[in-house]
Amino acid sequence: MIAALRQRFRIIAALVIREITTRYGTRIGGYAWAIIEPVAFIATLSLIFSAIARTPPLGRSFMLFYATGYLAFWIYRTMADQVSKSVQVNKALLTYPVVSPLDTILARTTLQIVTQFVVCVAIFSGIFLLIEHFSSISPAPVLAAFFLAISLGMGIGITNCVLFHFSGLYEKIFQIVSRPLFFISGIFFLPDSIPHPYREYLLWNPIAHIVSLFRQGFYPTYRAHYIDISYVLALSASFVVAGLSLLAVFGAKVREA
Amino acid sequence: MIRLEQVSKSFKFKGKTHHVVRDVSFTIPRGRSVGLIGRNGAGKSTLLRLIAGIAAPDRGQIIKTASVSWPLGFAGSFHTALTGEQNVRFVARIYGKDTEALVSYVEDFAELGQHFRRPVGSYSSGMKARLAFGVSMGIAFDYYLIDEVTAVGDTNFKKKCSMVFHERLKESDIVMVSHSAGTLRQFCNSGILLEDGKLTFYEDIEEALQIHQSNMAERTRI
Repeated sequence: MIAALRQRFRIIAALVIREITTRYGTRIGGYAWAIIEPVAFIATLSLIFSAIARTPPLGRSFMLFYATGYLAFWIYRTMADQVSKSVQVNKALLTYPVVSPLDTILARTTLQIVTQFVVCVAIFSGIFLLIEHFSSISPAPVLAAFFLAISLGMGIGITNCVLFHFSGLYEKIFQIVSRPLFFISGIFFLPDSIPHPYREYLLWNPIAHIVSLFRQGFYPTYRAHYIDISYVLALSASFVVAGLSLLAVFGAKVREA
Repeated sequence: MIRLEQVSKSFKFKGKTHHVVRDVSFTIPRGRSVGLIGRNGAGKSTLLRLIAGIAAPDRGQIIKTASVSWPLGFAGSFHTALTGEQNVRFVARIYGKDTEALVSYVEDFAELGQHFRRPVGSYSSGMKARLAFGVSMGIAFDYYLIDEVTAVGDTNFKKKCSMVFHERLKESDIVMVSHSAGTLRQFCNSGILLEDGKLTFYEDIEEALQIHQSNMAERTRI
């Protein structure tokens, strides 16, 4: 039992190491790109919007508003993307019978959680020190949103990892359908500003809840009464269970072809 | 010992179902090095993958009471973006071996020079085969599964491979797929004939090769 656990741990650690070495290929800076990319994106968003609007929908700092919006979304999306490809990118390594598809998924999830946590801490420390002394952070909503974004991304990622394998068409459709999520998750605006009944439609999107919850931690006066944590939690749990069940049934098939 | 219990496995190719094995119960005894013989497309490689555990049977189960290697062969088990050295480290980690010891063993064995520290994606197939051979010989298994490994490198290198391999064979057995009767004779003492979803064991590799040849002749006559 202990020996088996140890072996799993060794395998997952080996996969994490290989991931860190190759994710960004031979690019100079290597894994540092994991932080450079979101920073560059948030800076661009802030620049563009500070040129077309006088104040952000909350507070005074564009940087903080878009960082809180984009990062919550980014945690979900990169997790879902990365996990859905975990088997595919490790195909060659699955030739070793001791490595299982679930190991590749757990390795990517672990690395992704650590990376995202470090990126968030780095970005908010940077904003706090260089740009805007935001008054306070309440850790509970921030951590809750972080956890929900990770769980949802992981659940959808595992499910897609199996489904993408069987249907290239589904993969295309999923990508087309999920692209607009970026615009309807409340990154650029607050769902509070959307009139009835469109706001209710918007709130079917679990990521909108996650983004608002994340923001609540940074804006103590912001009260988003519409956030439904149990809805997001139930959805994430369903996806995780569905994904793991699919993997249990089709794992061998996924590995074979 | 490797034991197949009522194992069935089929695959679809161009819309037709091919049965690799059909309800086969079979034991590969310890202490015999066996050549897996069968015509093209009979599913020899698939059977090897079943034994390795990287393909799952449709029905039945495969019981292993010995350590079995990954199927060693053409199809690379290496991550192309990692260097040769990093790939070796990976294998050492997943099998719980001393990384430095394995790295220095393989570096010395595979004779890749500075290529050892370059991405495997830039390797020729010969270089990959040398790396693969080095890694697998660096880890002790009870069974080595070998899929169509042709001779790699120059005469000296071949000699070295053959020497190391025969050294390993004192302790370990092999299950080998090869089209070359010469290679099978060189490394195997027994044979398994895979035909029409059935496995037949022949104590003597010569006998297996002969029966296979007459089967093939029969088929061409029809």
